[in-house]
Amino acid sequence: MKTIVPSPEPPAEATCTPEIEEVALGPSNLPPGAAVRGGRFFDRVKSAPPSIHLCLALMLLMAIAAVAAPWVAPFDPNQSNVLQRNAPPSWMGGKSGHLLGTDQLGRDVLSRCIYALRVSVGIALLGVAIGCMIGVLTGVLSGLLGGWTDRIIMMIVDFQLSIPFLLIVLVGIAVFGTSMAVLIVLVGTAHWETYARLTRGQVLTVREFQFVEAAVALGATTLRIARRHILPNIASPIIVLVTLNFPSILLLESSLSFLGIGVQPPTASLGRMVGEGRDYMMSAWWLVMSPAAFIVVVTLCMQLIGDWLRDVIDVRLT
Amino acid sequence: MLKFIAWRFGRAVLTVLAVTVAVFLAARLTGNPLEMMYPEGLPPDQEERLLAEYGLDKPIPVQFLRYVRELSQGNFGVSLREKRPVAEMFAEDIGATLKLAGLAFLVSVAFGIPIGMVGALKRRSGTGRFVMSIAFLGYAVPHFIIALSLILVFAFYLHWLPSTGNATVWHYVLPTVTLAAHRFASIARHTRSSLLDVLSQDFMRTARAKGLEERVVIFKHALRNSLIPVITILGLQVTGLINGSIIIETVFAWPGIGRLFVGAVLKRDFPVLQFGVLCFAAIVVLVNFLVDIFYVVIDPRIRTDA
Repeated sequence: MKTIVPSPEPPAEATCTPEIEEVALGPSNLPPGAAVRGGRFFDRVKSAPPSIHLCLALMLLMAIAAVAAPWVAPFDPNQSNVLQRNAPPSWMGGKSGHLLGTDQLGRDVLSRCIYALRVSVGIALLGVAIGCMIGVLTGVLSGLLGGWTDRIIMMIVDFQLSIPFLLIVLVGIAVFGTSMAVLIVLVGTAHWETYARLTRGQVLTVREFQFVEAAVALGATTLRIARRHILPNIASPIIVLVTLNFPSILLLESSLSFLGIGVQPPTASLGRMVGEGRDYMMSAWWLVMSPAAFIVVVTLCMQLIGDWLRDVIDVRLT
Repeated sequence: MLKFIAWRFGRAVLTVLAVTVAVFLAARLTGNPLEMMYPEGLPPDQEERLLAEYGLDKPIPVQFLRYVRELSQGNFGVSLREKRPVAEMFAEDIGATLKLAGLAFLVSVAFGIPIGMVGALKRRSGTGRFVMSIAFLGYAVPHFIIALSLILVFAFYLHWLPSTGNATVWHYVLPTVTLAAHRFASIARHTRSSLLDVLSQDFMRTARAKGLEERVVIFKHALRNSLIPVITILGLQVTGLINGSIIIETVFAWPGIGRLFVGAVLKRDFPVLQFGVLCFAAIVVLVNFLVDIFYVVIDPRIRTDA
């Protein structure tokens, strides 16, 4: 039975002896990242269940579609045709030749979805990168320096955890307006505290290993230790977190765009398309359900891949 | 124990204070509130008089103290758009939100815990896998897509249920199901993993070895122990319920504070936003404080020397 403390406290005396029981990551006699290395990782991918293979294939397909949108999309996404408004998908017997039908301006839904996928995935990737960078940086600082740095950073983390983040994002949008840059930064900072807590915990474990002690004895600076010895060893749990974080950031952006306070026209993101299609749901449900299907496929696949990776790498995320 | 409660309480108060400061500063970052009230501009002499009247000509710290004093007197500000006290607007709408969120919470607990149990006890059979796949779907599909799918099927296609407003009991069905879907999934997943943890403990073998009935072993030994971590999760559900109700109320045109809040963001109505954030934060902090205390009461193994 684990003893669970209601919420993680910064160690009372965070000096040079870290509290190892705070982190339970990976096999205890190995650095946390050592569980999966190089070729063994691809062996694991090969022995993964078929559902994971399907997810990986779908994600590859989505990635190709997003990157190569101008070549993959069957039509120009902004080409309207008033003679073919709200035409049903061709697989439902629509005669227009549009695989997923057309929207209220006669634009091809599939092409718009592919371009919107590009926008949504792009925002989510940038957001993940921002959150990951801030979180890892603060986590390493917090774990390596300890003391007041640690206490202050953990206080901010606790603060963010105690407020529903959607509120912070909504206020941020009201204050800074609805520009793309603001949106990316806001969704990016949504989950930085998860990275910070994970990294801090990992640093506290890793710096107990003898190779770090040896580096200190050889006179390595804190920065060098962080870069050369700590970061490579905490990489795999962070990769798991990135995989699990990506769908939640994509969902956050979709929800905001759906509400009309995320991506602004003329740019279309998947969430925005769902929001715009809502008005025509009674007569043309494919306007809502096509982009919704894209969102569901991407988030479900990433979530499944993330869950699988977490089990393979054996990371315990709180 | 008392020290623990005092410490937790201090932190709760500190968090609410920090939120107040943050929201106040955020609102001031946007510049002059008068520009938002009168976007077409004002003659200079009138602007000066209004600035003085609202106290906006004073330095920021003075303004903040004034703001806190007004808060302590129960004066939470007036909506820029509707010219009504924001407290009154929230008081009108909070009932609808509480009813919806409370109902969704009850539904999610009523389904989440038993389904999590099935998932753990029958983890190797098809039943267990099936129920946990449903929970996974509820977890990974966003609120607005669940909401729109339900509206499409039950309101537009089958015509069984109404899709917007909260006039009758039937109006509660779709929003409650949508809001409960995420919560239910999260509770089921946590119940399952917590119960699996307990099932592998030594005292389970002991209980079976002394010849207890399986029913007693499961319900008395396993379930009661496994529900301890689940209680923390129940506390965290409040955050999820607030996030969810902000989106769901907009989709279903539910006249609650979530919709009020989104409307205020779109109209940049800062007094409403400030009060909304303060309200939501206070609710979350209060619930988590109570959960922390309750948690220590039911599980004496938790150390209270934090």
